[in-house]
Amino acid sequence: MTAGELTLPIFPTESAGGRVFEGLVAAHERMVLRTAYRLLGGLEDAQDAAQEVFLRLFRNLGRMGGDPKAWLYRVTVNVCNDHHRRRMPVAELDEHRADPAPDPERAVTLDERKRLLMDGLATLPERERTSVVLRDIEGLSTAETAAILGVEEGTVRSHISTARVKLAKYVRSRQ
Amino acid sequence: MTCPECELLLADDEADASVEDHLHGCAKCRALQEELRENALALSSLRDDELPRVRTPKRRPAIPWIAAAAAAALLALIAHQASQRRPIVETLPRQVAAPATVTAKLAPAPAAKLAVRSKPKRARRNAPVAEPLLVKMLTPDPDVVVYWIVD
Repeated sequence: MTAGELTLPIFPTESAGGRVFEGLVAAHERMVLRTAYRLLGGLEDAQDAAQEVFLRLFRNLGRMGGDPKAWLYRVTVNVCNDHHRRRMPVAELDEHRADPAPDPERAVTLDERKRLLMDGLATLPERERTSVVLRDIEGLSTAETAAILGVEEGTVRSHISTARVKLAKYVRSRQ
Repeated sequence: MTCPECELLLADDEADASVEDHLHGCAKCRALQEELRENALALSSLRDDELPRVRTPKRRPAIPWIAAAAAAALLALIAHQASQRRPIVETLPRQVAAPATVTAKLAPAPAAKLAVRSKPKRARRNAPVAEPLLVKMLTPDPDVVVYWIVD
């Protein structure tokens, strides 16, 4: 990752636990930082969140069972949601707002679309935003996303469908 | 099927064939379908995008600030000392410019002491060296007058 370096607390790495920790950080640093960035929309906030995630990882090395990747996704989502709640609330998209007619002459470039989608993500409710980030950006399955969020698959599908429609209308309204 | 129902089905990963009939007759939902498809591509490509760099302000070395602070403190000290000396600087050159005579009565002893402590040395230090300062001291005896010439 070429973004700013992640500053982590210094832990004793001579021990077996230290080496495990180092290995997990090396393997998942990019994933955690990328997910935090998509959820929070800012790199500095994402770096703060990633530090918090790895701090929790270190504290829970012995107690963390199962797949560390799923555990890290879950903690990243929780940390980012906490972070997001502390910030100023943003106006949510109105699903029932009049759908503006798109300009057929106006073609949105891929970069523009990505930027609009990132802007639109910030306006989504927490569950919808998290579902889209995990499912559509991170490429996890509906089942994996549901396991990370601790909800039923049907709930995730519902959140994702609603969020995708909102994002599509958001992008179209700004073309 | 209504448009809102069709929209949610189009956005679902497991959309069924029931939307096809609606799409044939609804240009708005067809446009949304295309929008959803392009968004899905854009979202999935976000995963491989590099994150932007954090712009950290460059730190200037602290030494120039320390030097500036020291210079400011030195100037303030000089200004303070100059303001303390100003009355002497302002009055004494006038006395020196035209050879002045300072008269002091020695009759009461403290007065004589006071006259003697008229800081002539400071005057000499601050004044041009051209003219001496003449101090005339009166004594209780009217026939005795003491003159003090200060270089």
